[in-house]
Formats: sequence, C-alpha cells, structure tokens
Amino acid sequence: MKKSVYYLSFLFLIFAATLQSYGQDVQVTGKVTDATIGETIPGVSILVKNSTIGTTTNIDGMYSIGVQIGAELVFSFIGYETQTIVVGQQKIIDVVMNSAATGLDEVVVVGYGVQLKSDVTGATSTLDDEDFNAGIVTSPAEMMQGRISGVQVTTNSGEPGAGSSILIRGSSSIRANQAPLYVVDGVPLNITSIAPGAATAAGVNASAIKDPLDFLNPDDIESITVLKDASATAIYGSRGSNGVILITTKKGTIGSKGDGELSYSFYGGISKLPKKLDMLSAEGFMSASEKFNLNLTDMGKKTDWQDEIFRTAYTQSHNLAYSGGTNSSTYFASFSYLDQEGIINRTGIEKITGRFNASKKVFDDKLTIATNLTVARTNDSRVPIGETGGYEGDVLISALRGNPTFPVYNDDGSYFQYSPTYRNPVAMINLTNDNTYTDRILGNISATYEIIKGLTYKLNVGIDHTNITRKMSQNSELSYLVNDGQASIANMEFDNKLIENYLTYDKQLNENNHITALLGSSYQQFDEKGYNLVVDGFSVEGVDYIDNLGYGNYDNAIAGSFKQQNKLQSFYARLNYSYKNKYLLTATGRADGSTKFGENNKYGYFPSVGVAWRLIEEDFIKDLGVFDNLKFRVGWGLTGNQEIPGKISQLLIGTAPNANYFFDGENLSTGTTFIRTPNPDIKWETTMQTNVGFDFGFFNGKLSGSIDYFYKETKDVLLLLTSLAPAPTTYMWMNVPDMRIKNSGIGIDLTGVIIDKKDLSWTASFNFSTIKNEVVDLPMDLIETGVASGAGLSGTRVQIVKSGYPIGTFWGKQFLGYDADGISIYKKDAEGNDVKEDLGSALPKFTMGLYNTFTYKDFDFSFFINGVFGNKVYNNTANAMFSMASFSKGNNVTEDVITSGESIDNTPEFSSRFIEDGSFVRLSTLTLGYRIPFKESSWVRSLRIYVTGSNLFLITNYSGYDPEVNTNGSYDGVPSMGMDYTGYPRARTIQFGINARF
Amino acid sequence: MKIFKMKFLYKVLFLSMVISIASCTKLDEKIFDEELDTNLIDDPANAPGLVNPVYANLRATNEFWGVWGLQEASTDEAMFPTRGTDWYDNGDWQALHLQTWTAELGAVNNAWNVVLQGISRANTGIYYLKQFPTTTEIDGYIVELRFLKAYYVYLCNDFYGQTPYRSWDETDYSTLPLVMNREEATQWLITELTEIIPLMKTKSQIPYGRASKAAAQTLLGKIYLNKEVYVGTAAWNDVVTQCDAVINSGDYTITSDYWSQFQYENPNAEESIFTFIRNDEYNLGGGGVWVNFTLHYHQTFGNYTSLWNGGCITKTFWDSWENTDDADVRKYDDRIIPFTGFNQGFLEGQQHAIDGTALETRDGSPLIFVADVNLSNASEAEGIRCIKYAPNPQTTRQFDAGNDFYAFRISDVYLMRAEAKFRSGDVGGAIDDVNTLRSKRNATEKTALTIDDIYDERGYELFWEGKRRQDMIRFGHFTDAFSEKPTTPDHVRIFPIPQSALDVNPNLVQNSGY
Repeated sequence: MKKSVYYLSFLFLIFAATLQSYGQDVQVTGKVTDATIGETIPGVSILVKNSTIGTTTNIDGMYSIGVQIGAELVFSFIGYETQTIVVGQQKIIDVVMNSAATGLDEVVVVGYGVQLKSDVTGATSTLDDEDFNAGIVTSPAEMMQGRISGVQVTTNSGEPGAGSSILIRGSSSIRANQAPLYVVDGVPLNITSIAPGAATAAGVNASAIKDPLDFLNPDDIESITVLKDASATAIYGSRGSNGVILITTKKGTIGSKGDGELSYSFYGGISKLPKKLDMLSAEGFMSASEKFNLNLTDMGKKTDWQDEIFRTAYTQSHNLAYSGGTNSSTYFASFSYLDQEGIINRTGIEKITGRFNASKKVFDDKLTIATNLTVARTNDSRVPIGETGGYEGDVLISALRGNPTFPVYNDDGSYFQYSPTYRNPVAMINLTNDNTYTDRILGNISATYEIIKGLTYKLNVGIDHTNITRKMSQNSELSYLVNDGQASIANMEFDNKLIENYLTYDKQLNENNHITALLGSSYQQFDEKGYNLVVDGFSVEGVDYIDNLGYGNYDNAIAGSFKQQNKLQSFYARLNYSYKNKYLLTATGRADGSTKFGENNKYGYFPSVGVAWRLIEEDFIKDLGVFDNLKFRVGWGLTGNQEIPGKISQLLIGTAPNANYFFDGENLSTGTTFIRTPNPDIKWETTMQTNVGFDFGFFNGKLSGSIDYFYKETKDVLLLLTSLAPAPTTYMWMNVPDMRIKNSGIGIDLTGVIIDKKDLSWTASFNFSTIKNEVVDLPMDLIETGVASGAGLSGTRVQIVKSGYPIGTFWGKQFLGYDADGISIYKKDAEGNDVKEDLGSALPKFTMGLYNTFTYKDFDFSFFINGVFGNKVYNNTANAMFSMASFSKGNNVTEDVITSGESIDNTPEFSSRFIEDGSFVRLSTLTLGYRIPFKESSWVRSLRIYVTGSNLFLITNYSGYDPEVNTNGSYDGVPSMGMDYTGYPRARTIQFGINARF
Repeated sequence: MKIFKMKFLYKVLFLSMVISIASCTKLDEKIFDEELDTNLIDDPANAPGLVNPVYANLRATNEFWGVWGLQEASTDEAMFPTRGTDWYDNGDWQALHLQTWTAELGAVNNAWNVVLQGISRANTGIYYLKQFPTTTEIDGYIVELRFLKAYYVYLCNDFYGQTPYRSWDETDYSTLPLVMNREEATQWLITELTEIIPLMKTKSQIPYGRASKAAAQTLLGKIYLNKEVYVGTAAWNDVVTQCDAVINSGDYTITSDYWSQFQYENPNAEESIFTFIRNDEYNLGGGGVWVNFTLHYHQTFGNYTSLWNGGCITKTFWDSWENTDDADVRKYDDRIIPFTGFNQGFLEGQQHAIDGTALETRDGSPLIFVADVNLSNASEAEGIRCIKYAPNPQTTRQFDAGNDFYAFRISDVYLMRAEAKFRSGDVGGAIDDVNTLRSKRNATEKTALTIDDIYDERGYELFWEGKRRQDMIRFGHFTDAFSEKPTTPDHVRIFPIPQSALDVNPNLVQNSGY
C-alpha cells in the first residue's frame, strides 16, 4: 500500500513537472469572491482556454497561474456562472463570480456522476430540500408525492409509515416489480419490498407493507432526482425500466468562517380522522330493523364504534444537525427522533435516525475519501388491520359492522364479545400487541482519485443491512382465537453489498468540442433470510406471551425459515459530447448479468442514446429576445426489469408435504418430486422507451418549465403460465416474447415567478401528466387479480389483465339498479345472459399538482394542491358490508343502504355497483411561516416558526374514507390497484414547528 | 514526457485490471433453502420416495373446490346455497348446482390441475425408477405407478372427455402433448389395465393404503360399466368378469357395521379395496373439510370457535330416502353424539350442542335443519346437512381430516355387478347382489328390482363418496330437473376444458356446447 502511495506521488511529480515545461510570459495572481456575500471561493477551476493548463483557488480563494498575454482564462465553479477573462498586461486579476441565475447551470445528479442541468439530454426532474412536501412525512415518496410530472405516488393508506405505490411513467410490468430503483448516495438499494410477514389474527390476513425508505430522515435529504426516460435510466440497465430515484443526502459545506453550522428543528402535530362514515346510530339501527321486520338484537346501549377506535393523535419530531468543513474536509452529522401516533388507537411509528457524512481530500486534493453512514431504528405499532381477509373482518370491518346497541364492555369490565365471528374491535386493539422493529444501516465509502487532470477513478463500496422483526401476541381472552392466544415472531434480514469502480474522463478538446466519458463496473450481492415462529396455547396471565414463548404449548409451534441470494454484475459506459455547447449527445450502455437469469440468458445489454439541441445558443432564437432557455431533447433506449423471482431458472426436485405418503401403510415417509419446472431461458423484461421533450424559459426566468412526450413498450413480459400439462408443475415462468405492455403519455412541469419584489414574491409551480396504458397480445384470454375480501366474496376477483385494456381494469357485471322487488338488475346480452365487461381502470386519466409559495417580508406562505382524475376505485368495504343482506344478518350499514330500495334477499355480488369514481382534489398541505429577524452578529443565524395543515380538504365523490388507497388484492403474484378494503384512513393534521440555525 | 506516458499507460492498465478482477464472478445461482440434491433420485434406496408423491396427490381429489366438488356439488347429493352475504363466491356454487358452468369455473380448473398433476407425477416416478437396476421390487413399484396413472387418466377422461397424455419417457415439457379423445383414452385404459392386472399384487402382498390387483380390477370394471356412456357400446359382461374376480378373491367383505368404516380411526376396514391415507396429525388431510362447510356456525367441537354453515343435500336426494326403510342404518348413526353433539348421516331437525342444549341460529331462533333449500338465498337453517366421515372430536387441525378415504370399496363392486347383471338381463343375479348388501344395512330385502332401485341403492350406500355424478349420468338422471335445477342440455355431461389449458395447448379443442 505504502509503496503505491510513493508511486502515485512520484507519478504526479512528473506530471506537474511536465506541465511546468510549457512556455509562459506572465504570472497572474488573484482572488475569486462571491458577488452576493463577498466571501472568497475556494476550489474555483481556472483553465487557460484551448489548453490543458489550469489551477484552482486555494482555501483563501487565491490563485496563481502562468499564462501568455492574450490568453483567455476560464473561471468556473459549480453553482456559479462561468467567466472568461482575457489576460492583458495586468498581473493581478480578481474575479467576482455570480451565482448561476435561473437554475440553468445548476448541477443535477445523474447516474454515476453529476451534470450541468443545461447538458442533460434525458428526462429528469429534481426536487431540492426547499421544494419537499411539508407535513408529517416519513419517506421520500411522501416528500415528492404529486410534485413531478410522470411520477404517480399513491400512499397505500393513512397508516403512519404506510407504503406507497410509485409508478414512474405508467405500469410496465405484470409479474415483475413496478417499483422504481432507489439509489441513495450512489448505493442502489434492494428493490424487493421489505415486508415483515407474520401470522395474523384469525380471519385477518397479512397487514399492509410499510414504506421501505422509512429509515431515511427526511431532514437529511438534500435532493431527490427522478430519472424518467431511457436516456437517463439505461445506465442502470436491467433495473431501469421503472425509472430511477436518486437520493442525495446533505453534505457538510465549507462554512464562511470555517466554523460550521448547527441546526435544530422541531414540530408537534395533532391529527384527526377527517370524516366518519355515516353509519346508523343505535336508534336508526333499531328502527330500520323494525321497518324490515328483522328482529335484530337490541342490547340497549348506544355505541359509536368508530369513536371507540379512532382518536386524536399527537406527533412530535426533533432533528438536530451540525455540519461544516474546510477546503479539504467536510462533515455533516444529524440525529432525529419521530414519534407519530396513528389515528387508530395503539397504532403509530417511532423512529430514531443518525447520520454521519464526511469527506476528506488528501494528496494535493487529488484523492477524496468520502463516507456516508446512516443508522435507523423504526418501531411500528399496529393493530389487526388486514389487507384481505375472511368474513369475520379486521378492526375496521368490526367497527363498521358493529351493532350500535352492543356494549363495549360487560358489566364486569371484561370485553363484550358477541361471537367469534362478530368481534369487538376495541378488544381486538387492546388485546393484540403487534410491533415491528426495523434496524437499518446504510453506508458507503468512496475514494475518488484524480489520475491526471480530467481523469478520475472512483471506487465505491456500500453496504445496506436491514433487520426486521415483527412480534405479535394475541391474548387468549379474544374469544375468536381457537387455541388460547397466540404469539408469533417473524424476522427478515436483508444484506446488500456493493463494489463499484469507474473512470470518468472530462476534457474540453478545443473551443467547440467537449467530452465526458465514463467507464465502470459494479458488483452487487443481495442476501435475504428470515424465520418465523408461531406458538399458541397460553394460559399465563400478566405476561406478554411474546416475552416468554415457553408459557405456550410449543409442541404445537409452527416454525419456518428461508434464505436467498442473488448477485448482479455489471459493466457500463457513457459518453457525453457537446459541440459548441449547442449540440449535445449522450450515449450509454450497460451489460447486466444476474444469477436470477437462466443459463441461456446470463447477460442483458441495455443501450441508449440521447441528443439535445440548445436552441437558446442559436442567434435566431437569441434575437427573438423572448427566451432565456430553449432546449429540444430526443432520447431512445432499452432498459430492463430484473425483479423476477429468484430460483425460477432452476430445477427443483425435492420433498414437499403434498408429496409425502404412508408408504408402508402406517408411517409417514417422504416423497420426491419435481417442485419447480426449470426455465433456463428466463431473463429480464425489456422496455424500449422514446422521449421527446422541450425545456424552456421565458421573460428573464419568469416562466420556465419542460414538456415531455414518451412512448414505452415492454416486451419479454414475465408471466406465470399454465404448463403444457401433464407437466411436473401446474405453472411455469416464461418471458412471453410477443406480448407488449404499452405506456405513452405527456408530462408538463411549469414554474412561474409571478411577483419578484424585494419584500414580496410569489412563485407557482404546476405539473400535469397523462398516461395511457395498454396490454397487447396477452397469450391468454385474461389474467385475474384484485381479490375481493369479505363474506360471500371468496373466489371473486375484480380486476383483469387483458389484451386491449389497460392494467388495472375492473371487470364485472354492469349494475343497472333494482327491480320492483329490490333485486339487482344487471346488463344482459341479447340472449339474456349476464355479461362481464370493462368497468374502468384504476389508472388515472390524468394527474395534476399545483404548488404556490408567497413571501412577504419575513413571512412565507405556501400551499400544495394535488388532483387525480378519471380513476376507479373498488369499494370492497361496501361490497362486503354495506348491503341490505348484510344488514339483515345484524351488521351495521351506512344510512343510504336503508333507503336504497334494495331487498334483504338481494345478493350483494360484485358488480359496477361497488366501482366508484376515485377522482379527487386534495389540499395536501398549507404552510404559514415567519422568519424571526436577528441582527447579523447574533448567535442565531436564522429562526423560523411555522404552522402547517395537511389534508385540509378533499373534494371527491368517493363514498369511503379516502379514494387514495391501494389495499393489496394481488392474486397469485399479480398486483392489483385501486382496491379499498378497510384502508387505514388518512388523517387531517395540524402541526407547529420551529427551524433554527446557529 | 515519454516516461510519463508509459507510467500513465501502466496506471490505466492497472485500473482496468482492478475493474475486471472485481468483476469476474461466476453468476451461478446458489440456492440455500431448498434441497436440489439429485441424490434423491440417484439412490435406489429412495425408490419409495418416487412412489409416494403419486399416492399423495390422491389426497387432493378430496377437495370440495376441485375433484370432489365436480363429482358431488354438480349432483343432487350436495349443494352450496348462497346464504345472504355468505357463499355467493363469484356465483361458482350456484353454477355448479345449476350446471351452468363455464371454462372459467374455479373447480373445473382445480380438478384439471389435480388429475394432470397425478399423471405427471406418475410419469416422473416411472422415469426415475427405470434408471435404477431392475429388481422385482422396483418392477412392482412401476406397475403400481402405471395403475395410478391410469386412475388419473380415468378421472380426466370421465370429467373432460379429452386427456393430454405424455409417455413416461417424455421429459421435454415444451412440446405439445398428445391429446386422447374419449374413445382413445377408454381404449388406452382397457389395454393398459389388462396388461398390468396380472402383474399387480394381491391385498396380502402389499401394505394397506397402496394399490392392489383388486383396485385395478375394480377400475377396469368401472371403465366397462361406463363404456356405453364413453364410447356408445356397452360391455356388461366384462363388468361382471372384473367384479367376480374381486369378489371371488375373498379378500374383501361387506362390513356388518356400516358406520364403523367412517369413523375417525378407520384403517384396515374390511371393505377397503383402494383407499388413500389421510392424517390430520401431519396436516395431511387436505380438502377433507366437509364438516367445516356443512355444519352450522354454532355446532362447535374440538377447538372450533365457529364453522362455515354452507353445503347441504338437496330436497330431491332427501326425498329419495322415502324408498328405503326408516331402519336403514345408512341414514343416521348416533355413536359420535356424546363427543360432538351431532350425529353421522343426515342432520335434520333441532340440533344440539355437546352438552345436549338446543342450539340457536345467530338471531336466536332454534336451529332446526329443514330439507327445503333456496339456492340463491337460503336462511341459516335451510338444508339438511351430511356427515359421512366422523371428525376427530378433539381436533386442533381444522383444515385436515384424519379419516382414510375410500376410492373403491367392496359394496360398490357388488352394486356394479348387480347393475351389469340387470342391464344384461340377469335380474335374479342383480337382486341377489343388492340383497347381499341390503341385508347388512338393516334394510328389507328386495323381491323385485327396477333399474332406478339400483340407482337409489347406490345413493344410499355411496352418498358423498364422489360417485354420484358418474352414476347420475349413467342412469340418465344428470340432466333431469332436480331441486331448483331445470332440465339441462346434454353437453353438461362433459365438463368444459379449462380456459387456462386451452390458452396454452392448441391440441385441445373446447368441448361442444361451451
């Protein structure tokens, strides 16, 4: 090691000497300062035009360079406008640099590097920390929801820390994943949803998955960049099809006095359920019972079951960060704490995070070592709310159906439990302890070495470790448990290791030609393992079963474990070429090999090319005097989706319970059979995407924005097809070559600076997206998904994938009303048979977001409205519960059911009756802030107090709690969309906060 | 200058090496949590392991959402009425009862998968057994697997009239399999069974729960019995020949205690010809959850807190019992009442808990099961319930039954022979066989017989044992109106080919009428 250091130093001495050998006439020195604050700027690059000679300013902003008279010096620095100065006779040239105006020259993060925004040829959008959504946000998905065109974020429910479905430019897969790739500080995360499974209460199936990026502290995030088109994502190859989200965390900045900064922020929030469902009161329930001669049980109490389970929830958050740096080293450290209660009793999330990011330059600033490290612990407290489930129902179903004349408690104080299938939701909440503990460590260390000017080598090593343990116990007092209580532990562990090497070469070839080239490789290994344990038969009291499983009947215990590994090995290259700063070309390529792919298809190749024409540099555009930016972009590329299940290319012969038999007539012996039919041709799905876009700016930056059109076509779609029976297994994985999933659409982002005065400003941002999705040449009639839950709905699947229709299409009978007897009438064909037809799609026709900020002196005011239009939602809750048949069985219903004219003899089967318009407009957040003015010499740098309201109003025709819902109704691995079965309602929240910088 | 360039070159080369070294990993998938070990199929000591899966698959023929559902819920013996918000389930149960099924019906698809899985498992077993050195033992296993394959082909042929077929040595599963039509499959079955019967072992030579010679003879007898339905030409004498062989072997006798063979512990029942073993202790009673679906929510025992209140028998079938004696033991048996509160056989009238208290419905009315059932909107107590196999009264495994299940038993063989004799003109012989059975069931012996008497007798003896659909078709009653079902067209006597199978195999053509 030491030897190589010497060697390197030697090399650079020679290099430096070589540079010295050029002829020169004059030694110029000077100081570079910032135009606004007047401070010196270290690290400014100074280059003699059309040469390789250059230097940088030192820590005091000073530089010295020998040049010939008449040469031009180019001063450039990230975030500042580049200046060119002709060297005359003067020996001292001081330069004042202006911040880059209108954001044109801001640097954006791209895959494996950064680029000037003006040089980008692909479709990308960036949100910086001041742009993030306000409110109680726990994940990056929530921070950018509704803010970027082409990116549809649907939080699955209102549960604290709920997962989100993120679709970037539509849904381009059926069986592989639809989620984008996240890259945090250069470390691509495991796309696999991190979902702690666990045994759940009888009749309450798996709970919704949580957001896998909950572990990030929102206050640590500097920027979120979304790469949308293939020109931008193809560098991520087989993981680029669903788009890529690059998250950059805050780094230490070189403080003005080198003394760094300390910041502290706090908020407290109060959340409530915005609206209760209109359930019958005790009086209404009994009078309806009388009206329909039902003789339903009247226990004489007046219980509002919704009031019994919902609460006013409180949240507090603290965040402390300090950062600083010198010219050669920076640091950023933070610590955060969040305690968020959910609006259903005993739910919530508690999160502690810590972060340390640092960098150090050594060897004459040639070598930069940088580390990013974050650790987080999350504790999710939950109650039995399932995504699917039997007729008995979970907490929400039990509360909604609950007979309002029933008491919560018996006279002796114990819970009133009417029957095992008619449950007391308060008992379910209080007698279940369900906690998920997640520990996550994400860190990387990188070394960047400048071999010669313009050529840098970077080594990046990352680790990502997650350990999730879900512990649940259900008290034996719950009458529906069959074996005296239950305790379960489910654990999952994820490891993700990354090693990456790449070379970047950046060169101004001459006045007109500039290239940047990238060549690299990466190796990534993903390990997943886990176990689960379920024990029942507890008779102990006063001990939470989970704390001592030994009290249970562990003869009856169920245990299991698993372990999987997959590896990804990749090579990639990119070339950026710019001619006269007017014509830009980006070409990328990546080869990805994965252990998941079959032996006949080990490597996939993903090329892309993007070109851009900066019309603003053309005289005929400049002469118009209208534009201050105009760029035309075209991109094309192939990307992949490799989120196919592991092991499917491999033959599995083994033993399985369903192959075991009593060979000798008495004793069980194992059976050996094919468990999985191998497909050695299994590979990634390939998406071809073309993008055409304009970036523009008018009237001195008053109006700027971009408009993009894209067309995406996915082939080699991965499906689980019926085997050609008789075959060892009923199903077999295949890539269907002829099938296509098409997505096309338009995305528009606009920003207008409407008022820009010293004391008053008003900026408005608007985005609009519309996406059309279609499945073509599906090799079967249809694939069903969207599993309906509830009594009498077994085997009912409400959504289909079918040629000629978009993904997410609801499929069923058209409900036409009731006949004179109150029995449903459905649309029939000419022969009088029931027909199933297209009932609309869960994919919206278009989405919009509008963000406004105002400042007046030291006040700031902002609000954000987002809207989703033209999507359908299946109200599974209503289908399962809100019908006269349900009422006649003693279940409470909404008031409109009683007056609907439906007969109690009518079967509430699935039909368009329960498909509703899911369009909505939501006032997502509204913030009023005040910056308390301090004297410059004060020990406080800035202090801002604010109040934010979230989800203040919602305009929708949807009859459930909230149309923005996505209960998992996947069937056989095919995901569903737009299902609402007891989705945890979204809260309305008011929060008060303070941000201080010292 | 030159030195620099050379060094620079070295440097670049060095870096490229770093890059390539870091990257030269083989991308073979490593599997940790599954045993892919082919020793399992290389070691002759594991031969039983290759036989087991084919037997194990028989358990899946119990599933009420699959094979058993097609055999029974399509007939007058079982129905699943919609009860308010319960049991609508996509309309599948109503479609099964009304015989308005389509290629998408869940049970049609599930049954298809089970029988074809059985054929494939038999092929896999035979293929690997043939890799072992030949011994009498191995040859015996191969013959057993050939029988089991024939049994699955028989089920497939009986349900669908088309059977995708692969020979045991066909291991390329991407090629289209041959499809046998009903005639071809029937002929294949006769040839195959005739060939293997002499090679099969007798009851005493083979362990309980495995297939003996009599099983193959009974199966061949069944194929001859239905040959008129399958191909249009009858073979009554061949039925008699096969039944004679089974009966005359002396290995099987009609039990004098009918219900003893349907108890929770029921192995080695004297009637058993072809029985597969189920076991709740090992969770290997999949599909046998008939107690769950038929009993009312409140008829709890063991660790049940609630049951499913679904399936029952039709009024038509209940009424058919008027033609036998009230004393006929097959209708009702009370031996399990002290442990469960309910009886075996048919559950009619007021129901009781284990402690004898009268049960109520959810809304507090007395729980009285009645025969009249409304298919689309039955109340809680409508429909007479049926308990054929007694559950484990102390069960903690609600989704598994521990009873061994009879695919073939000797009473069936007597009735097969009676029917074949009757149809070929030997009425006296038929009466003898029927009376041999009835005398053991405490039922009056017949002095005269009609063909429908034999049909009814099969219902009394074999109800809920998965025989009814085939019987109703053979006796011409399947498409008759019964219960709420109107007369149905002839094509329903063969089920549709599942859509998912048609999607991938162009050699399959949808059966006419669908």
